[in-house]
Amino acid sequence: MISADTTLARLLDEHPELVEVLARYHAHFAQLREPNARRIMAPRVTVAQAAAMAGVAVDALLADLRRAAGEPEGAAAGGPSVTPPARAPKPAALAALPAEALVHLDVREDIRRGAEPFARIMAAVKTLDRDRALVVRAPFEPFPLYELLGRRGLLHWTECRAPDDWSVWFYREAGGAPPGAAPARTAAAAPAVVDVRGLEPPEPMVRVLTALERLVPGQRIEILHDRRPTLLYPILDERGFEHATDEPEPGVVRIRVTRRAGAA
Amino acid sequence: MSVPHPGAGRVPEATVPLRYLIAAVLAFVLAAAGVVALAGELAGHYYHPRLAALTHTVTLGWITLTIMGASYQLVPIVFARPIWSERLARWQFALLVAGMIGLVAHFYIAEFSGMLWAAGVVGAGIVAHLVNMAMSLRGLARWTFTARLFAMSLAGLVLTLGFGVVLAADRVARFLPAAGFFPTLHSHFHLALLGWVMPVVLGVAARVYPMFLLAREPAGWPGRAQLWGLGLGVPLLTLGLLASPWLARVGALLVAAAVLGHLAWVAEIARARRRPALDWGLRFVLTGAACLLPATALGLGLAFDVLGGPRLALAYAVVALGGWISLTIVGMMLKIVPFLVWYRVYAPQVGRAAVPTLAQLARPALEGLAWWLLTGGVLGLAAALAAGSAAWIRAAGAVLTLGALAFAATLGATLQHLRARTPAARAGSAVGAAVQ
Repeated sequence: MISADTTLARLLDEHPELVEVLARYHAHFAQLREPNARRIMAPRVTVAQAAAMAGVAVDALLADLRRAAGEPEGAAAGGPSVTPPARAPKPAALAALPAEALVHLDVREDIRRGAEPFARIMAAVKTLDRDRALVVRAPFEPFPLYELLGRRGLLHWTECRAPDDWSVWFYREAGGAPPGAAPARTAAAAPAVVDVRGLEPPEPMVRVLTALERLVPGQRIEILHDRRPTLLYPILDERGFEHATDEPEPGVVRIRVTRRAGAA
Repeated sequence: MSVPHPGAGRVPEATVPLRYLIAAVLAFVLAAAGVVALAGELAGHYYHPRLAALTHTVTLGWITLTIMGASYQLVPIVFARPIWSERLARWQFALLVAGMIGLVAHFYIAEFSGMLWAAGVVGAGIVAHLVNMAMSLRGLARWTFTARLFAMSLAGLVLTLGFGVVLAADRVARFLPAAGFFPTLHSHFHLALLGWVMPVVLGVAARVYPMFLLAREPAGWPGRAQLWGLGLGVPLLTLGLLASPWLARVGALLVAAAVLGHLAWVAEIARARRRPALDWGLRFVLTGAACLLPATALGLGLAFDVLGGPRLALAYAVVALGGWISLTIVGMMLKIVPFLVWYRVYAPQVGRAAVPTLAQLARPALEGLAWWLLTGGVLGLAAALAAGSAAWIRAAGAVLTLGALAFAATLGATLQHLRARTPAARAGSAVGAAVQ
């Protein structure tokens, strides 16, 4: 069943034809027809986020997708919805930056023309040092960039100027890692429980390893699985995670995973 | 980053099952082409040395190698038991391939003393598999439905091998009574089909189909029907084929009950699935299951003497081997091989770099083409064999060969990913490189 938190990757794996439905909502989603753009965007955007990017109610998009996939439309999303970010104050690290330290990149015209601005953004990121920030201006909230650039140690602050005019400031915290360093990991980013029951392989492995990469040393998460993930264990061992498996109830396998201190 | 070496842990290195599966696909293409080449022989009686070569290309080269290769992948996952010896699995592969080539070649030229030697090499490979599986499953804590059927299939393999060796030795020493050869041959065939292949397919299906279709694992009377139906039916059918038609009929009815139980489970899994879209792998699997109905009907018809003659016997063998087993295996391979490749190439990078999804390793258009050609080819071949028309057998064989080539090309495209060390290298694009 398609839900608000279904990723576009999973959605299009199961229903490739739905790319046309998404493309009707926003021209940028037509990029999903291209394998490279799809590989970058689809795993990082949920249906709820896609609705927000398109500026429509998540229930409307869900109903349309379910109808096109031949699923019952259901009453409501039932999953998380995306709301405009709260007006958080500008972080001190950004407020202290002089105007000449800002690299501005307006991709609204690229997106209106149907061009993929990702390569331009990544080229701009490469020019950043720890005293500069990148300001990306886009016609929607660019959710995929948060994870992609977060993995490069960049924090973000989002400003919604109008429903179709967003500015996202990507910056490094004072004393943060240099460009190209390992992704910043924060305890707040790691979920306490990752429930991968009912997912088709290898989706459980993808979700678990993605969540584990955000763990800080000593932090633990619990994975709920349909079966013992035999193929996952060697990767956990190689990446320096300690793990223990039990079955708290019939048919439910629980794996407790902890990042060892000093592990990569 | 280095690729993890699961062989050092709980699952074998991906190349172990892959080598079996690749060799099996080559045998499948060869067998399909063999139908075209041997159309004249296929229009006659099924006992012909060249048809024995063709049959063993299918049963040993295609089906047995697939089951053995898949076992090395599935045993650690389904039974949570490590493979006892990966080295033995590699030696076993070498023995089996060498033995099968010798067996098929000697059958083809009707040189039976060489065939007996080759059968001995195949037997050594099979014994290696039995030892490896027995040691891997030793101490299994829970003898589930799948585990029982898996053990049953190993017993069936022992008996199939025993009957095969007896038949091979008889071609050299001629010790079987004249009236005993065909009953022994029929028993050998049915032990392979119902004693070795059917239990393992039914057992694995009960665990794997719910995984593919996102459904609850099935339970209830169909499971008992399968266990008892095969557990009692196969021995009775074998004894009946050797000694008493009535015993064979009781055995056939029990096997039919097992088939009914399996189909009831497949229908329940398909009905309750949470994955609405069926990819081509799943369509192959379900089409294969549907072929069990005509195969069982033909088998019962032959057992009860409602049907008879070598042509219908050949049609029965094609619907069973080509329809049920082959289409099921093709479907399973379209699920398993991309996963093995993805696991070997991309799993080490998950969470650290963008990796393609499993669906992005597939070639749906080619898979669809393979479905149409293989399904049409198998049904056409069964009809052509029943009619005894060499021209139509040749035509159906050509369709089948094209289907087998399309299937092989699909897997070949997936295997190309083994060359990619990183997603960026695979994509070969600046955008892909930027993601890293």
